Amino acid sequence: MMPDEQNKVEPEPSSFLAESVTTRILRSFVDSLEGEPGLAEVAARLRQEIIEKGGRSEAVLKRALFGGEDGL
Amino acid sequence: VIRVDTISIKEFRGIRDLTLHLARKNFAICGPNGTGKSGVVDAIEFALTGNVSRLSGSGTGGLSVKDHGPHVDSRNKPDQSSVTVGIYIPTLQKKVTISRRVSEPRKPTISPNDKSISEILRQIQDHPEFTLSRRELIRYVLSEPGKRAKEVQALLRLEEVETLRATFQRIANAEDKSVSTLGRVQKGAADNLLRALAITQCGASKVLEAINAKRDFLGLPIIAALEPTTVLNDGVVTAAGATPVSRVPKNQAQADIKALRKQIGATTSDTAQTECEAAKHAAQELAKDAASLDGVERQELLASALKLFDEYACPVCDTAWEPERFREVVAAKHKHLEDAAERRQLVEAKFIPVIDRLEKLSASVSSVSRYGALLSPPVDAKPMSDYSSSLLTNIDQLKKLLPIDSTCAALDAVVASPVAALATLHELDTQIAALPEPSQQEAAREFLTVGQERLLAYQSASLRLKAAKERADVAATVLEQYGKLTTAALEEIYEKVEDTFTTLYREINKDDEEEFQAKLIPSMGKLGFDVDFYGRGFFPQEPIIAKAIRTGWGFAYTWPLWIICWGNSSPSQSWTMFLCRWTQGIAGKSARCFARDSLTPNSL
Repeated sequence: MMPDEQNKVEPEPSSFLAESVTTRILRSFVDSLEGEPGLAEVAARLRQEIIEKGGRSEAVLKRALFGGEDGL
Repeated sequence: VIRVDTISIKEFRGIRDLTLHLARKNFAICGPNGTGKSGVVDAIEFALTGNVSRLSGSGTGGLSVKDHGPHVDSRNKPDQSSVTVGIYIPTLQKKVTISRRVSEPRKPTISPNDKSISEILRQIQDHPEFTLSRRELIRYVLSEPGKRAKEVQALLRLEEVETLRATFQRIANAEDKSVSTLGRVQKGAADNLLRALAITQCGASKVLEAINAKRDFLGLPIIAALEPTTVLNDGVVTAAGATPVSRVPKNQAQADIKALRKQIGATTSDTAQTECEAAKHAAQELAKDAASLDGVERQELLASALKLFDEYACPVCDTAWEPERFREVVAAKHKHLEDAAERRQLVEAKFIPVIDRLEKLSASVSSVSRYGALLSPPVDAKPMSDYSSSLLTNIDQLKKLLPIDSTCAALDAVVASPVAALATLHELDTQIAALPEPSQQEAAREFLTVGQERLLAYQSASLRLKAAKERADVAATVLEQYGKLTTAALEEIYEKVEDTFTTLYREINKDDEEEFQAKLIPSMGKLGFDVDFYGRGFFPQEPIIAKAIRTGWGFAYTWPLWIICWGNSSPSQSWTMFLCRWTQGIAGKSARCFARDSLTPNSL
């Protein structure tokens, strides 16, 4: 095999490692929440916190659910 | 897809010195037993992650990479045991060389070593499904369904799905609790309002009826509708020729004192004492399990420990642990604490009516004690203020629960008769009774003024309750949606696994099991199988699958899970690693048929 051939970039449908099953499930969950009446903002915050930032703590989830720094 | 250019293995596992030039191609490793096939896979895993799955985890006893990674002849020389792998990362268009010594598995030499490469290596470490060993699959196939669910969850990284569900549940529970607490506050405010207006039911028409009777008497305009901005005593103070409202509204004060006496009586009654004794007994029973007393705080600590565990050492004391053993220990502690948390909830349920009563009482004591300073001469209401403070302290203690001794003392204290406060109450009552009877006009003005104060308090409590209910609704809806969605997603996984498993298993064993069928039993995070036993019905697989074919079973079962993890764009080289570990477990003829008929050109 020629060096140029070796260095050929393969088509990558996604990142090197496939997105984890958990992330896929969470993405579906947040997508579905967007369709719920009055929950679009909650969905947007959850997307940012638990998918983009990977947050899992109770404080993070509260902030995503209720908005604000302390969830109040 | 990472491509392996070369791999150089020295004194590692069963290999003394081996260099393979794989030229970024897919590869299979074949050979008789004991010739080091698995050692090559271990070496690639070690080079990329610093770990060897087969030497870690439960069921590996005292095995470790450091002690058992080196070749047996170099077992005391882990610094001479090393793997160097040259890889190519197409997405980055970079060649990378990674060298690791068994003596320092966490200190690889990576060249070049930039952020993008580190990120790729970090992602690999985050995927435990990177390699699957025979031992793991056999353990999985033979494990009981409950434990198997954990294995699958670990493989698919599904623990986080359940962890998040539990957190959403906890938040929803807390919001429900908050609604309950604020509901009690609102009820107390409503009781105060009803008492002030001398009515028995809340509602705009009843309030207006009572208010307008007094306003009409005072010649004030009738209020047609009760709005959020309505002021019940509007015009009272500024009315021409009106006498200022008495500093102590005699009628209201006497009604409040009467209600307070009743509340104190209820708090110190035999019924209340029995209730507190029962609560105390429950707390003392809990105290017998000393290890569970601080369960909730420890749960938080353990959850953090699991998150911070770096696969080598305890994040608190830096003691070295085998990863699976560490997780087992923490999980056992966590499980114990979950039980303790449940027991705690049962105890706390007995405290709810006590706390409810004390909160109302505290509010009433505080309210009545204010009359002391308004009287002339003033009455020192400090004993009542102290009583109110002690009630609040005891309420806080009951809510904290721990330490149990303090909680028991609080339960004893709240049923004791508040002698000093009662004496002050008597003094207040006497002085207030001695006040001149207000004229009908003064009484009407007092009525409207106190009514307005209590209406505001009621409205404030109602607003807080409404906000809490909205939060609780959001939490409940999100929890419900999360449950629905994750269940559907898991069921989809089950269906894919079921279909692919059945197809693969039939293919592997098509000489005698072409009609094989399997059924999944879906439930949260579990992948339990029933299989068709030669047309006689579906049974759990364990009793009817012969040991000889369990490896094939495990392979067929795990491959679909693998597909789910990696999608259809699976890194083909990793597939190859996977296969070389598992085709050996399938009977020879079936393996050849399987390889011939089932594998696409891209997968080998």
